[in-house]
Amino acid sequence: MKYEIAKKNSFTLLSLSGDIDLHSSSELRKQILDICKTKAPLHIDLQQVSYLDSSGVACFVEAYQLSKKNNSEFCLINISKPVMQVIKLARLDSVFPIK
Amino acid sequence: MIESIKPTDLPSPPQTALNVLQACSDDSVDFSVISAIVTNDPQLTAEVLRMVNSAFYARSDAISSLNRAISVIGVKSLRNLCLCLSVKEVFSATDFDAGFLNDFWTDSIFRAVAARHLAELSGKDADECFTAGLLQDFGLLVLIFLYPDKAGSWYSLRQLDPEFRLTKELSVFKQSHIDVFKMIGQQWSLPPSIVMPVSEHHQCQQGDNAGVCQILNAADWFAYVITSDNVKEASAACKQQMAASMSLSAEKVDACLSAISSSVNQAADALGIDISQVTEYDELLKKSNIRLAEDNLSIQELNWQLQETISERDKLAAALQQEIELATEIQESLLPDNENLPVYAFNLAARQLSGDFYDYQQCSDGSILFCLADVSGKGVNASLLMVKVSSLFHCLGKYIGDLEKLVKMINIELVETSIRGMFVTFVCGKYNPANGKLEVINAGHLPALIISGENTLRVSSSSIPLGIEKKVDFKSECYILKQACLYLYSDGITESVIDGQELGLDGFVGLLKKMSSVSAADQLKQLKEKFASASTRSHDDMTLLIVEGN
Repeated sequence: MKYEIAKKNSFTLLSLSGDIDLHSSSELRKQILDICKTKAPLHIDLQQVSYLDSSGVACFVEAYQLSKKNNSEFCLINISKPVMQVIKLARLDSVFPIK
Repeated sequence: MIESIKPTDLPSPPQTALNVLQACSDDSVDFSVISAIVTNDPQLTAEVLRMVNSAFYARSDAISSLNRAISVIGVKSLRNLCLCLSVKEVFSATDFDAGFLNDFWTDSIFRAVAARHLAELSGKDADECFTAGLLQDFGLLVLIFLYPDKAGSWYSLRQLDPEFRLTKELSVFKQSHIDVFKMIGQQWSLPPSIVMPVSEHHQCQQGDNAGVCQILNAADWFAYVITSDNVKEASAACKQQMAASMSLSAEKVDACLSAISSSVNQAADALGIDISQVTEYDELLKKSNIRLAEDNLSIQELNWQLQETISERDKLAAALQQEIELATEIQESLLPDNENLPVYAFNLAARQLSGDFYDYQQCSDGSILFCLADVSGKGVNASLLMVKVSSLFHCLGKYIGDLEKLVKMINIELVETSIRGMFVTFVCGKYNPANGKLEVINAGHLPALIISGENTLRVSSSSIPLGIEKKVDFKSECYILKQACLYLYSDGITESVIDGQELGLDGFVGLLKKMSSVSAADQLKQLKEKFASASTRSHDDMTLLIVEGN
């Protein structure tokens, strides 16, 4: 997994690429938590993600739960096909804000 | 680069020495001419007399006049003597750092003494070899004089063996001491018998000078051993070189090194050069051996420390492994094993602790309550949450008959204690063998499969997984399980690689259909064998539960 963080005018954009699995999800969690600490709106771009396992989904669940707690914005954008399959299978498309 | 050095840049010897050298370039010169030149320089005369009477020359009779000295040692030796005595006067202490000049001449005297010793052993002109040895690196001193900013490099060059030193010298100065010495030889009218072997001592050629040339090369190696910081290593390299170039045995080399180191101080006294007291070779070798022994001891101590650390690590790993084995045992004990119920299941953990689990039990009304779940992530944290969900399901299931209410309560409990976004994909159901009624809830898990012959019914997820949101309604779906089996499975099953290909959901359904004619017990046995030898992309746990309908 690779990531890029860009600070936009009204939100922080975290762009991910590659495989998000047990090996990479701890790094993903660290980056998400660092951004969430700032309480800045967080958009996660998943266009280049080719694989997502449950540990990666847990990172998004945690980000979602923190954003609710902090009353800040969180959303997933440009979701790739393999990632969308995982999210839909778990019916999480009804939970995560998706743009 | 050498063209950039002009003759006028080069230093000159004292005038008397120059006159002696020029006079001696005529082979037929009378010794009275030489005597007259030297006598005109009272300081040089005194130096010559002091030297011929020094312990280095080891003469039994005292020589008190220059004429007597010339008649005893000859014109050529007198010339060499003048050259040796004068060359050290070329540079004064103001040209260089005094310590450096001292160190340079110390090394040069080593080479001179070594060359003299080897000449005596091989029947060559000892005085000539001594002079050539003293001068063989003089070109380097001139280079340092011309390029004072590179003077510091001499100390690192000094530690290198002669051949590597020459290569390094070329990279530092872009020219060698040999080229500079050839220019000096021409300007000072040095005799060819000295200039030629000095010029070729790094690459000895066949011919009249070959013997002296080899002696100078060997002298360079011997001096390298004695001045080296690592005498043992330098000595081994020198012995190898001497065996190849001069057929000298290791014992002979050691004997030469001892003889050379013990006469260096005498030579320095004779030349009037003040060098620091030289430690003899045997003493140097002893010190080197002691240092080697100390180094070996340090390495041994490090080895002992390493062994202790490894042993400590192994103990901790063994203790941790014991803890994990105990946890595995507890986790396995949570899996039900009731042969009287038409439910069959296995769990193949990718690691010792699993994040998947299944459970089933018979309720008081005769129905069978069952579930299969997969905790997000893997390892210890996933397995701990698995134990919690399993216990909640098993315990609450005894008292809450309503399946939807049961799942809702487990979900609320999980959300309230949720950490790190962990969640559980969960599929559960209740089957009544008496009437075949089947109730299923799928919370974010892979579709449950009801297979009867060629017919397959997929019970897809109707809600999100457990542990994410509190306010979720879990809706059950009802079926009749007659002459059919219900299959619940984890993603480790569909992601398994069999015969080089990922099985996938369709592949798994195809596999189950092929087995639909055999009993659920036999199906489970065959499937367990198949999946036990399969691998998964992410080393996932593989869990399967089959409910066999009547």
